[in-house]
Amino acid sequence: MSGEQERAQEISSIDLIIELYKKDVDRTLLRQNLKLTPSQRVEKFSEFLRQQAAMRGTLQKSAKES
Amino acid sequence: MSSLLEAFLPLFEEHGVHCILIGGWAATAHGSLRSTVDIDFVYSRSDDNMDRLVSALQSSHPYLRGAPPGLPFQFDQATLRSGLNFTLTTQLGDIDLLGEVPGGGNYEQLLPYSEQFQLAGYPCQCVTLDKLIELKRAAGRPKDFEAIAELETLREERERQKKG
Repeated sequence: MSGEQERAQEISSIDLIIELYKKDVDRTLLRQNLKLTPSQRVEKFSEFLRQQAAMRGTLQKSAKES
Repeated sequence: MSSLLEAFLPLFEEHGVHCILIGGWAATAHGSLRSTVDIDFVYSRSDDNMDRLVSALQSSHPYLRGAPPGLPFQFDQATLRSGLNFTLTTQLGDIDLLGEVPGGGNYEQLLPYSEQFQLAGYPCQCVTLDKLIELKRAAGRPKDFEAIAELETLREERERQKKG
């Protein structure tokens, strides 16, 4: 098999894997997110990260106290 | 606590740094729901821009991510010029500064495949969704396969919305 044929085979197997993963993607959530502007999407994600950090801080604090 | 984007964009704007947002935060701007732990930029390697980049980041004390502490690393013009791609940890969070990326080339080559968004209140040059998918595919990392699947689905949904 030539290098080019091997490469083509490699690409097609990667495509197959990606197609398999696509079955697990939640399109409903993506459609909701597409209604937002890029700025709103970033703000939403930043807020999620802030909440995550706050929750982590609370858990660490309660773990120290117990 | 501010997000990485909220932390770095004001500095880049203040110092006039020319760079393009790629990676997970670019995916978020395009509608991805996946989380990311660092922020990735392709930066212009013009002398002036590298000077501006050093000025912008120096106060956040960049250091080589994952390297043992105490190395004589200095994030200065000489270091930036002698290297290309840097994975750094800073007091503001982790940042990847890339002079070139597989599938995208350098800043000047990637610029036509970017668009300007207003993010966190600042203008931000962001790689297009199509190019972002190309970059992820070119990187060829198995950990990116799920992300590519989501981005391609996102593109399909966006096309479907456009058609109507």
